Amino acid sequence: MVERKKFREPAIPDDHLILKYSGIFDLKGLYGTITEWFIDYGFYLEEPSWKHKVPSPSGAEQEIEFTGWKKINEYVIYWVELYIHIYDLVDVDVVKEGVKKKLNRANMALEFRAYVETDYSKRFETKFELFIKDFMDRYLFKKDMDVIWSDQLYYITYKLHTRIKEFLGMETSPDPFKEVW
Amino acid sequence: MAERQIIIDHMRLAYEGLFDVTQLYTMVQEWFREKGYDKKERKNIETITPSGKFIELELEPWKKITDYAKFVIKIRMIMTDIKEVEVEREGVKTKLNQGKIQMVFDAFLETDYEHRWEQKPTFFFIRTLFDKFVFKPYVERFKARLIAETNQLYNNIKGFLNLYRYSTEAWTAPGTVWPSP
Repeated sequence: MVERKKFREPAIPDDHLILKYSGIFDLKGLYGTITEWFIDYGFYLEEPSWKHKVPSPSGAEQEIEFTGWKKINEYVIYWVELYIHIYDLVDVDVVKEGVKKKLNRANMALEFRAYVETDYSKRFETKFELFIKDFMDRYLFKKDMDVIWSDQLYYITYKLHTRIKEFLGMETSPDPFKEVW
Repeated sequence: MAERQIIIDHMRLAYEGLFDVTQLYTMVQEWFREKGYDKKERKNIETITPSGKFIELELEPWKKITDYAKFVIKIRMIMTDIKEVEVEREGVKTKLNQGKIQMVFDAFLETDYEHRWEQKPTFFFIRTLFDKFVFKPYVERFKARLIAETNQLYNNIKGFLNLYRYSTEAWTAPGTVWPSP
């Protein structure tokens, strides 16, 4: 059996991006924003794991994983993975413009990963087929991988990063690179 | 591993007073985009503390100069005690931030970033020979360009922060210790 994971090319140098936020936010709204983003960009969304730990005096702990995939052509598929670790999560009542709202206060760390996978339909299995695949990846698709697929997925992942920053109202949410891809 | 030469090592900029965090961030990112750098935001942390917001950013954009060499500019920004204030300027009320910033600039010249010349000891030897004798004038020119670009960014940021000089801020000596959140 061929290890398929080795056909995954990381689109983000250093493997992942980190975003940390600590303060008041709307957890339900954040969840909605993330799922909406995956749908907007044509990704199929899966949630491989959702953990909720019993609240301690400082609050509950949650770990959520989102995995989205999108087929680009018969040979290439994009993967975007988002891991969210929320801790010290408590409900708070906030009055905003005279309206009482239930929000959350927590510390949160988000990790973004993205991969370009080739041969997702597993056409190349035998030793000889794998040799052909290697040749294709090295010589025929090398430029496409560097200039198109990896680059596009890299900037698409930043769009999710920016969308979350905008939702959280972070000071650094404007993105001058938003028109790239 | 690709070879990373440190061209600028820990050039610091410290500021305390009025400024706009969002505009500063946008200005820096826009500058990188205009100069043809690819975006890289390694770390982005925003925490709300009783004394104001704490923001830590680590940007590491890069630009490929040739197939062999690329520029990397790394900026670490730590902003502490960031509060929102309303300022009246020429009769117009505007919202700004008040707080402290510490910035550290590093610049690297990365050669053989595609790891083509390090797979075998002979290749590595040839690369070293070429770096030392053949490519030396090119590498020197690249270094000068990288220094000029980093200085231009540094001066742009300094100029940007100077726009707020009608307030009570003062340039401070570079700090030696990172403030804690």
